[in-house]
Amino acid sequence: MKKKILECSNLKKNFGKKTVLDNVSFSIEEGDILGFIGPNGAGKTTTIKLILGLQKITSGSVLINGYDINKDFVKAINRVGAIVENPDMYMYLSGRENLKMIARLYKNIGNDKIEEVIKISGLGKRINDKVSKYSLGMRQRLGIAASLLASPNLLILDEPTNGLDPEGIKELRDLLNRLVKEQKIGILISSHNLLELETICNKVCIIQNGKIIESSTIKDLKERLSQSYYVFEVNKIKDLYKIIDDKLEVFDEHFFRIKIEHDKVPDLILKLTSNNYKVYQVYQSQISLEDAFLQKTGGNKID
Amino acid sequence: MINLIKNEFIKIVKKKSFIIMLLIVSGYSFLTNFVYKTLFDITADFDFEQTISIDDKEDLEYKVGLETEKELKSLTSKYDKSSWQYNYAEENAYDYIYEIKSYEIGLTDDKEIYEQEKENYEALKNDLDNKDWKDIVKEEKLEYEKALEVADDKEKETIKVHIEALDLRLEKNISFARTEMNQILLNYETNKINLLEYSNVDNLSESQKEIYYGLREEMLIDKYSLDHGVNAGESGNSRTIFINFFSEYSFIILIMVFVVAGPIMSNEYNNGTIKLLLTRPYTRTKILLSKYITVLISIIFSILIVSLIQLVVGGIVLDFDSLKIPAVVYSSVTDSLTTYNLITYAGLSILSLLPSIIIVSTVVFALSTLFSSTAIATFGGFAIYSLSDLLYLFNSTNKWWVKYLWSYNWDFTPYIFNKAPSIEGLNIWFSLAVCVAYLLIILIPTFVLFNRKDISNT
Ligand SMILES: Nc1ncnc2c1ncn2[C@@H]1O[C@H](COP(=O)(O)OP(=O)(O)OP(=O)(O)O)[C@@H](O)[C@H]1O
Ligand SMILES: [Mg+2]
Repeated sequence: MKKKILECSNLKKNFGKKTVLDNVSFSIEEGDILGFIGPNGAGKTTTIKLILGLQKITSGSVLINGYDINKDFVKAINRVGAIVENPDMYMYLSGRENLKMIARLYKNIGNDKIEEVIKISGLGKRINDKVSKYSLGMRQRLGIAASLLASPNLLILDEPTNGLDPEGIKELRDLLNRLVKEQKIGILISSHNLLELETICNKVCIIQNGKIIESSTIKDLKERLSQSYYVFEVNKIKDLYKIIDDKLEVFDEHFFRIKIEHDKVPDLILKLTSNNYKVYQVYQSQISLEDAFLQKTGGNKID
Repeated sequence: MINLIKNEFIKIVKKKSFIIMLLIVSGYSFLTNFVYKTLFDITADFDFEQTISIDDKEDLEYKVGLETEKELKSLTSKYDKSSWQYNYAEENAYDYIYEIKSYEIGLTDDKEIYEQEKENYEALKNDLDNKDWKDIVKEEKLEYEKALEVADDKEKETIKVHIEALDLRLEKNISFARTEMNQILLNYETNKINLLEYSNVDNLSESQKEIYYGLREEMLIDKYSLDHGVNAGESGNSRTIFINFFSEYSFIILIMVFVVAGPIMSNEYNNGTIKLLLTRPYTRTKILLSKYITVLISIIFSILIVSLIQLVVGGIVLDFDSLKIPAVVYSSVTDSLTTYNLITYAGLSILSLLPSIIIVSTVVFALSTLFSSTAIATFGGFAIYSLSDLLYLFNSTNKWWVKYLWSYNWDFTPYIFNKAPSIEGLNIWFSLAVCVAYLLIILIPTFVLFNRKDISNT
């Protein structure tokens, strides 16, 4: 069995009387990249803060590498790299000075490690500029580099794609994949850029109003949600409902989508052609994670 | 932990506000010194002659005054300004001339006095031209000695002081010329005579005591100056500015406390970097403690730097020579002077200010930690500081709790320089205990609450 790196069980967080997180449980094993998604205000950042010990857990527990974050903070946090909310850095210091400050707080981080993460960041010579002169994307790159300094086996990235250009996102994806494969680490990544998560993660957790409403592998989720959708291209849409009993979704004058089982597709084609509809093409709908997300959460409502 | 502290230092030193503060303080130092220099130059150049318009001839008294001035001026103009004759004439001839002119113009009609004064005036003029100042001193001394024989007890004391002053003149070779030493000698004489009025110190009221000790202090310092041939009481030189720096410019230290301790935690919250700091393998207690240690060290360090700046700037703008003269501190407890070289004095002064600096810094630090606001922190520190002056008003009430107020305990100057404590009966150990108690009262809740604090979104 793979080693469990992070285990959150029954996390609950109250702010005063308001319950912001309730019964949140999930775990990350070696090699996992867990996508943590949910609409604004769902509780993603709060969960991350509880994991990192930045906020006190109302009830439940967080174990990192077997250590309880509350009782054994120093040991638990020792192998964690994180960006929370924004890649905040000391603006009046250069990128390199920021990295050096962090490096100083761990045992055995030498200059070669610093150079290594600078190379990963792709900031080049700009690493010697003051952070106040960086763009958001550059700060994000620096933040990612900083989170890698301590050679973490748990990487927690709160919206790391925010501000990155397509090139940066691709680099990040490659980097995370490489890290997972080579260094046996686990990654928790939250993002609004759902399309990005789809290609980066292997697992996904959907959170809404402080509760986990879906937790599975990306593959399962997509299959489960998309297995029975088929898109048809026909010559006309008119009066279709008279011959089809199932609910269908009309896109425009030629396309519609319908939820039926695989076996029933030939029957439907036959039925259409026999009723003088011309069928140009039929294909299984590739539902994106974004669609899945919207379906699950019922749109982007904040409450 | 050492590395945590090192990081905190880097943050402070690399921040613009710290550098700007040091620059401003140096600028301020330059300015004060220039002001003193300019003031000093103006006073030195100031010519005591006045241009008087002669329109108002009706007023006889006025005319007498005018004529006297004229005559005095024609007398002194014969001598060099730095000569003893010039100053001696200015100080002694006026009365003679005034009487003479009064008679001549018709303000008075006592011929006898007129003749007498005329004689005196001629004698004075003769003395100025033909005698050495030392001869004059000896003659004056003889006259006082004669007077001593017929004087009553009270007068005797005064006369003795005059004789002592004359002896000092001869011994230290201080002529009548307008020099520093001459001035010091005159002050010494005056103060000592004024002191004769306070015969029994124990019966004095508080305010009288204050005046008495003030006079004693001035008198002893004048004596020190005379004995060592230096001016230990001069106000316009770099030495005095440096000595007063620690008492008069304490607001500079206050500003440094605000600049260093005010933002140290609140900036981390407001910039979100607190998350960077708290996700490292250190307990929150250690992180906060290292910040606190950094605050204390860097404030002390800034005070040392600023003192050094003051020393160097004062030296460059005014003079380096006076810095060799030691600081002379009067203790009313022992009624004596103690001398310290300036560096030792600076060290001891900082040491005696330290409890107050630490308490204010701790308040500012604690508020910055608990409220994440530099403004609140600064205001709180300022409140504690200014409240301390206000609370001093209680010192005459004899409520039991007064001696536990910080105002009376956080200034260690009385203990270190052996002066009377702010309230009778206080001693260094009591004050130390009170200060430590204050620190614990502030720090323990701060650490406990910080350990429980939720780091919120910024
Ligand atoms: N300090 C706080 N006091 C009260 N409520 C809070 C506090 N911090 C967060 N919340 C609430 O907790 C909920 C979750 O917030 P959180 O920041 O975790 O959301 P999120 O999923 O990260 O959102 P986003 O996608 O916008 O970043 C929100 O409803 C928010 O209003
Ligand atoms: Mg968030």
